[in-house]
Amino acid sequence: MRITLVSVLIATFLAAHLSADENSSKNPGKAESEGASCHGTAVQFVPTPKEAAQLAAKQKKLVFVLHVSGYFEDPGFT
Amino acid sequence: MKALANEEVGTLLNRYFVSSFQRVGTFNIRNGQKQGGNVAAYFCAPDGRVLHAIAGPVEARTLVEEANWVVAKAKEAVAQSKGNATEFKHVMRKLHAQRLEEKYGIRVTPVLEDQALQNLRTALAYRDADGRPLAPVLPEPPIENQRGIGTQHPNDARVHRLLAAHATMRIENLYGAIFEGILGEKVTTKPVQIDQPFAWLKQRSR
Repeated sequence: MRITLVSVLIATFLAAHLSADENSSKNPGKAESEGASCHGTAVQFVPTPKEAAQLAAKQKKLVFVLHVSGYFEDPGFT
Repeated sequence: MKALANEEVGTLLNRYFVSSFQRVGTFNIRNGQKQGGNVAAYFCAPDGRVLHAIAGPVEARTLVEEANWVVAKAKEAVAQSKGNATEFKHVMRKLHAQRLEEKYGIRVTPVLEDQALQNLRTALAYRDADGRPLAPVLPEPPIENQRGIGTQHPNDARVHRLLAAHATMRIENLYGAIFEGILGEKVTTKPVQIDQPFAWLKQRSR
């Protein structure tokens, strides 16, 4: 468990640093993820935190989770 | 949500994070006006362990600052811990305590060893409106200097204080302490409450 966590963290942060620098020149600020939607923001959101975690592990990124009251998808109920 | 519409925020978050959202609270609409409701943001490792958090709405500049801080400090923690997960946890908690003192003059001793969590079946667990336990109540490290005692601290200081003891805790165990403990919002699965759901219908005279 600890080894898994360590390897995931190391891979995530070090590779994120490298891949972010490599990708910035090709596609600055774009998350290449299917099913992502911006919901009227500049941030690409995937539908669930579980999918975000899976994609983050795959893309060697961190996870950003927003907890809201109401319905984030509907501006009138956020 | 205006901060999330900022281009710099979008570029930064899309570059270093995969983003998602969850509804954990609700609010009321009375006479067409929104009452209540709030937002919290969590910066996590892919396995759901919380590295940093923001309690409440913030400006774009603040969101950029906090996101840059967690990315930089996470890299620093990885380098210092040299592959040791326990040491990584210790470093992150020390960094939160350090920033709490540097930025707010509040001194706490980081709690490096995980404490036994409140059982969800105890009366102190955060519960939804139906009494169902949702998240444990988390103890905060005591403030050690006179300057920090007896004053109302801003939410970001309270987050640092909490994470000085609980950084790298999994989000499902931490979110209650932030959404309800710091923001004072009831964690619930109930939908938005509207006092006049059929407001477009004219009231018939009797």
